[in-house]
Amino acid sequence: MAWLHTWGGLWFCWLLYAIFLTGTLAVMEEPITHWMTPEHHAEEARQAAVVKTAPLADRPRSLAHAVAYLQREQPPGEMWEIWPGSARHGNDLTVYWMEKGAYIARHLDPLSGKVIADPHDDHDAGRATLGGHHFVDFHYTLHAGTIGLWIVGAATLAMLVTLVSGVITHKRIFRDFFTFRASKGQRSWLDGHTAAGVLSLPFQFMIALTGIFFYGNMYMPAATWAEPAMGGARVEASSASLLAIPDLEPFARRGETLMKQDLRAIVIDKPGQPDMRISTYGWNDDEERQERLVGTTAMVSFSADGKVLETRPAGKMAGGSATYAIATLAALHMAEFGGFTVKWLYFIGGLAGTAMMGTGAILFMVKRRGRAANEFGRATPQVYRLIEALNIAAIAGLAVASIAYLWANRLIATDIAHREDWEVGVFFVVWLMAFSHALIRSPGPAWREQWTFFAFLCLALPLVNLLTVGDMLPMEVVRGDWESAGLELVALVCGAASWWALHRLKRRTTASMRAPSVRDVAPVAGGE
Amino acid sequence: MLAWLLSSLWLALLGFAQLGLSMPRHHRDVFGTASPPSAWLSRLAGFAFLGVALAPCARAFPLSVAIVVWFGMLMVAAFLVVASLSWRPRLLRWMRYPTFPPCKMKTRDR
Repeated sequence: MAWLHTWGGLWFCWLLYAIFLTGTLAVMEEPITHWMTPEHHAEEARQAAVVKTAPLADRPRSLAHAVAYLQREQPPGEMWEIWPGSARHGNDLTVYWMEKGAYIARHLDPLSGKVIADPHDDHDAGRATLGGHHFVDFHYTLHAGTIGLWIVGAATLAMLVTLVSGVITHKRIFRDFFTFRASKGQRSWLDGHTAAGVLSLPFQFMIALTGIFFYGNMYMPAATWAEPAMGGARVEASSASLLAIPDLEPFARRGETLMKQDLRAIVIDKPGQPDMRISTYGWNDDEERQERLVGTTAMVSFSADGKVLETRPAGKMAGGSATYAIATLAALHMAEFGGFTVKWLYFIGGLAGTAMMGTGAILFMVKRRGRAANEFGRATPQVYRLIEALNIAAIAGLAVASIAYLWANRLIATDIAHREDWEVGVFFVVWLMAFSHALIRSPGPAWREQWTFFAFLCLALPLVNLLTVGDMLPMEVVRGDWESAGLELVALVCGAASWWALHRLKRRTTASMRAPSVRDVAPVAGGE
Repeated sequence: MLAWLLSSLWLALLGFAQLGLSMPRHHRDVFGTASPPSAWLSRLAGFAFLGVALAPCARAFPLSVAIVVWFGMLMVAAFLVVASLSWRPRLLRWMRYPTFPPCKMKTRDR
């Protein structure tokens, strides 16, 4: 088992470290996106104020415009979806439909019914950026689409194996439960590794398992092959015998009464077919979103002649208990319930997992620095060197790249084409440079230099914000912009932790080449 | 909301502190004597506190969310107790007080 834990852990720890650090940051996707789009802060505040008071375009007319547009412009397909304006959504009217498996949207003017540009498309205004979604995307696809999903899935499976084998290998799990012996070299690394893992074990196990289930249907597609309806059966529309689409407003009214929620959207399945189905969907208010694990809204579906076919209360799902179970597991993974309490707890759990991966990777090398175990025969020194460089680049390098991504957001000109790709480009180039640096420099200085650079980037982030955008921490606090202030405070804490650890290390280390102590790496909080 | 969350964290801290102090090694770090007054009572109190820590979470959230928050609180509390035992063990001195009077016994000093 120890063998499985060591080698299974080693070959996946760099990838898992990256998945964990970006996943931890992904929990804070919204604050990061908010910080990265400073031009929209005023607009966001204005919209939040306006939406509640805006006179709503008359809904029956909006719905009629939408149906008229869809009937005129779109062949009756599998599904039409209409989002009329509402008190929560503002005055927009949006229609969606499925075309060749793709989901297509058009924005309509609620008064005239004409097609207009997306009123929320703010690519032109301010800086184009992926924002916090960069971390989300990297976390589950490595920016590599389906292939990335499979790689992440394999790594997650390896993590489950490593977690279980780690628990079995750890013979004194209860006796050493509270044990952390600081400043004791290899002993401290082991204690740090086990403490990070054991104390947060329920979280790590949950997050890995739910991560696998999240794309379970893709990893194990047999169920979807056996049940073609799940893949969305094609409806052959015979335009000859189309029924008229009824007036939707009465459906909307009855739906709202039955759902006990405001109307968000109307979905028409198989429009014009004899078994046409009209469903209304509601809005969850903020409190409801916090209080339910699964964030689905209420839904009522009707047949074309107005019979209620199905009602679903908010927080429940159609499709049976298996579907609901998967949705619950996915919701557990995404932390979209419970508000910022849950987000912060997930952030801490994610950091613990990140620290577990990082300390594990370092422990492997710390054990072998004194006496090589010669696992790789004559190539052992070279392989060790490579592992050491990968450790540095994966652990310190990724932290540097993550904070550099935020710097790129402030320093790249706002008007260049494909700006968001440049930001992501900076992330990857900095990471690659960190790897080259780790290969060129000997490990001791490489560790120190990368953490020094990380500390500098973190501590100077508020200054860059001040010089480029003109916003600064005290101002953010005063106007109550806790998303921006929080991000900069976390960056400052990370920078200070890194700087303090380096300072301690300098005091303690003699000239000999040593790894930084547990605490030097534990605050690898990265870029947030 | 915040008051409930802090109470939950406090109960979880008390719980893990009792569990830690039921072990001779940690008891010695905190009180100087290797033997806790009653290890099994400490343990019982510890687990009881950990369990009770769910109650404030359940006041702040519906049970399904509360259980997730409770696990999170246990994790944070466990980290804080370990950090305290490792760097500031004496902080835990008065964490035992709510359950037991301060231990005056001088038996079996190591």
